[in-house]
Amino acid sequence: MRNKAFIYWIVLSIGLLSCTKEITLDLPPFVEKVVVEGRIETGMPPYVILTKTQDIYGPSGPDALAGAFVHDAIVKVSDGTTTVTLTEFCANDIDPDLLPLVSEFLGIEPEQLAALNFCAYISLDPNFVGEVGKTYSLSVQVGDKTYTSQTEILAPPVVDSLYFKIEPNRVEHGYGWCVLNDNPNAYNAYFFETKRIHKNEQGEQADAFFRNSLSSAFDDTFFNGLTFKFAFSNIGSFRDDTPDEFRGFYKTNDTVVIKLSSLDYKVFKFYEMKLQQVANEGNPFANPAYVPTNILGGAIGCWSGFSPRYDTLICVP
Amino acid sequence: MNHSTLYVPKMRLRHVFFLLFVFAFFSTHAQQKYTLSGHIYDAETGETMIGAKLFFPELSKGGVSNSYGFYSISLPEGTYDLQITYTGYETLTQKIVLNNNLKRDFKIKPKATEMGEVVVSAQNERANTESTSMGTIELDVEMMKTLPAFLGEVDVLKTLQLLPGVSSANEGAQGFYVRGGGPDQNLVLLDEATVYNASHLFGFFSVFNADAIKSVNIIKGGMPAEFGGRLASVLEVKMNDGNNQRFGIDGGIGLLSSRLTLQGPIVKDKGSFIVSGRRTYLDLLLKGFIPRESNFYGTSYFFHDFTAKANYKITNKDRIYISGYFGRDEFSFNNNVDAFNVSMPWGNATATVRWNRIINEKLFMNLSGIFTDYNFQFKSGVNDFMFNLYSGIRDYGSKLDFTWYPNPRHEVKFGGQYTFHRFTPTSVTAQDADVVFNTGGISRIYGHEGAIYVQDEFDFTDVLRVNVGLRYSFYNHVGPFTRYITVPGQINNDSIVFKPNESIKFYHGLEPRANLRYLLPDKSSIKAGFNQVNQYVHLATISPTSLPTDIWFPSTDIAQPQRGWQASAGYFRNFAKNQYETSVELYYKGMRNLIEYKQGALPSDNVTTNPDNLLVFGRGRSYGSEFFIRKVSGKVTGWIGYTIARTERLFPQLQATWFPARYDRTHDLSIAFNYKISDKWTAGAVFVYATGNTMTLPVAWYLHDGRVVFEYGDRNTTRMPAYHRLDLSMTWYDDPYKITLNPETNENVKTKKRFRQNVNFSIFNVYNRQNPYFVYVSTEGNPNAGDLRIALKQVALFPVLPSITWNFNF
Repeated sequence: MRNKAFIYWIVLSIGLLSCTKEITLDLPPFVEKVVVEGRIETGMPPYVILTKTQDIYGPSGPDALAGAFVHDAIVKVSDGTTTVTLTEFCANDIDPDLLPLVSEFLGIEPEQLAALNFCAYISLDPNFVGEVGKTYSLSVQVGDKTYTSQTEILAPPVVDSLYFKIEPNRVEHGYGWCVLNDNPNAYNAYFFETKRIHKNEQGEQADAFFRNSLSSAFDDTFFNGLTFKFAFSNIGSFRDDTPDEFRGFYKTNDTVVIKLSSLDYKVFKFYEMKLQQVANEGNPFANPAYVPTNILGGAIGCWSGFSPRYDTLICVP
Repeated sequence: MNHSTLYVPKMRLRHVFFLLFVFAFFSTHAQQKYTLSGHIYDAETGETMIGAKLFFPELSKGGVSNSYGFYSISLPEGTYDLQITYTGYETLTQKIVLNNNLKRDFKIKPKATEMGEVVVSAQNERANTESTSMGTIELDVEMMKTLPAFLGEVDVLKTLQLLPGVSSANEGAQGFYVRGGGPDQNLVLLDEATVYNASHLFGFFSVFNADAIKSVNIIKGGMPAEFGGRLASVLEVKMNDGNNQRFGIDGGIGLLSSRLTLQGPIVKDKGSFIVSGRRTYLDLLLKGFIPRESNFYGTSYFFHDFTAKANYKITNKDRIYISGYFGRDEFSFNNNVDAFNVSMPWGNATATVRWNRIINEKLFMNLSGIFTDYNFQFKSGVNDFMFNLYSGIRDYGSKLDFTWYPNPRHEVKFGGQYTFHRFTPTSVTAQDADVVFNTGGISRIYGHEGAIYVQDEFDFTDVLRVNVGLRYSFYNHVGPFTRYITVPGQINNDSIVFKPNESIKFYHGLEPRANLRYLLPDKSSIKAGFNQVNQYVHLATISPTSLPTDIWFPSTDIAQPQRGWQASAGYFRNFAKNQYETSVELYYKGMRNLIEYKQGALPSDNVTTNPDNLLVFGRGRSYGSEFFIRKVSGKVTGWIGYTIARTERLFPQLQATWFPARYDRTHDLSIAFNYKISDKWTAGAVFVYATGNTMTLPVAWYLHDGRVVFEYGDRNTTRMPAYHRLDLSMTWYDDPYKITLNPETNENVKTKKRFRQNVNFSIFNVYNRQNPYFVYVSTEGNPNAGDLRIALKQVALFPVLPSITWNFNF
């Protein structure tokens, strides 16, 4: 946190005097790796998105993104007693009417699904859904290589209450506040997401799916066993037509669903470092944020067990 | 209690040292001798002269005044011509009749030159070839004042960085790097007190106000036994004693800061004082630049420092000195709109009390009491949330040093020192309305550090001079202390509590030192040196750029002392009646128990555990060659320094193979020159070229959850573009004389003006080179929109920057 103040200062200095330009430097040789983005949540079937890493100096347009998907892999998930094989689906193979549903499930914009011919491996077994207390093993076979991982669905967190508070100098805009009761007898790591479910001016639901901020992953290092209160901002407002001066704020009468999930430690570290890395872009004082992985066998990414607790806030002060 | 011996040299090495000492004293001749001793002073200011050379041509023997201006030479009975020389001063020749022990103080006069004349070396003319010291350079402060200065601020550290083997990490980096050592491996001493953070404003300016400084001496290699505790270098900065002849005021007004120095006698010829202060007005400038609607409105920054010193000659044999430094950086941000505020003060304070005593004409003693304090605070608040962070160091120490001059061939130094450390690596409190967060208590680390040493510099033969020494150092980590036993992903509920003064870990070790100088017939010399050093403090740096937020802490049961050795050899030669000094030096260094943070460690991780729980330990090696050509007198003075070197690290827990250190520089070239155009104008130029710094950049990217994530490659495998820059300056001096009419003779008489002034015009980065400050991977566009673009971007900090500074004294 203290580094942030330096960043303020240095950004100011840089803003006054500095000059930024694009350059090319010699980097170590690029070695392609498989990236696993897999998740299983309480009550939901597992899914896995498989892609390949891209060269820094390589193309980054739609073709590169579309070409990054790994096809024809054998992906299996097991809860110790039952094993299911996930089926690969690509957006172009799906009925367009179903895309919004898939978008909400995967947390990916519908346009992106279509534009990139987005592919994911999904379980079709309606009985195989995430359950609290179970450990799920993942096996991914790509060509002659196999990658494995495990994750656990922990007990969901306890949300004490939600409320809305108008910020000073504002008339009807403010932040949402979440009060959670942390379990004193265990290490707890959390992931916080929000979705506005009221209709926007176009008559559509304001957020198509849950969104998270760069500080969404946190653990109870500083508040173990305490009742902890934190403010949350309106992430979706940064992606819609909300005027700049109101971005980040909720407005009176907005309706927001919060999703607070418990994570196991390795999954938490992945999300923590990933978000840290995104937040550090262009920060001269930031150390290279090596994003850890819980995938064994040479792939990177994360196989994540999410144990969410949902609650709804109607923004009335 | 655990005991660890860091280094016990082989018995054979001990025997060699013992025999050298024994032989040295048996070489004393039996002839009746008398001792000439005393002090050497500047005739105009009364300042003691460090390193003035005394020479007896008939005997081809001499000596050098020590850091308090004291000298002692024992010679056979007789009448001699004594020459006292000091660069930039008139040679003083005196006839000495030595038929009993004689105490004589000498005053030498600065040459009748103008303010602009420059001397590069403050020491005697042949010190380069005749002394045993290697990798040791003393700079004259007046010379620094005539070089181009960044935004007009004369800077000790920036001048040092122009020397071979000394470098800065980059434009804004704090600290300096010597022969591949880290910034924590430099012992920075201000009047014998350790300065832990020698920079203001994130490394852009040093804490040393040039107006208050008498001498700056850096030892890069061949560290004598009187110094220890740091692997890489010793930077000795001595404050001015103050003019004991008359009152005077010095000052300057620059673009960023102004400074003022007052000095004068307490009692003429007996004691003097000097007080000096400096303050920036960046905060006032910022207010004018930042519009009210800007996100940065409410930002304020300034630094100030204050030095004071007094000395008094109590008796002919006793003199006391009291000196102190207090410096502070203050950053703050107050945003009334969002109720967000930050206050961040940090700085050093030092105090030294010294007692010089001439025990007899051959034995000089200095006893010092030393206090050092460095602290950093960060206070922040948003609405009901309050966050407070503190880290700091407090040292209480004493030091006793003796210099013994048994005969002209020997100068023996022995003594000891002790420091009690109190480190507060990180202490955090946080509160949100009525909820107090669990951030642990104030976690302090206490330690006793001490050393004893003996060294002898003696002429083995007429051409072979040896400086051999032995230092024994120890460190005891004591309670109270809480050791947290942490398991990732679990609650930290295990700890070991140590009681006050309970010994937790004891380290000790012997540190042999040796330097040899062999004088060749053409008066050039070959030198070689070896030293071993143990370091009991560490600096943990979590970001690639050093910041005041970096955490200092001492050795503990987990963090073992850093241990290093260095071997060096060189050829030294002067030309053109010592106008040109040249040298070539080779060195190799090995280092152990270096520290780095574990992969993925975050600053916040320090809060609820001991910082050393987050560390990994490794080794380092550094080798290189330094070339130095220096012109020390004449109209053109200055130097060219070039270093070719390699510095590597091995941390098996981070990477299985050796990797370049972040400050590894293959090529480093510095050229610094002054040209005295006339009595009124002096021009200065500085050119630097350095291989780009190493850095760790991503080698690949991927999308996860709709966000671009990077995968990093091996450590420090990418280099920034090379750094090069040219700075120029011109300094105008007013006429030092005025013409007055002598009413008695009715003739015009040229007399020295009391009020003197000069104006320095500097241009930093003349050809506007866009030197890289940092490089990052930029992501623009949106993968959803299909316009994602990934590119490497370089940020350059300073374009061409002119400045002007007005200096005065009277």
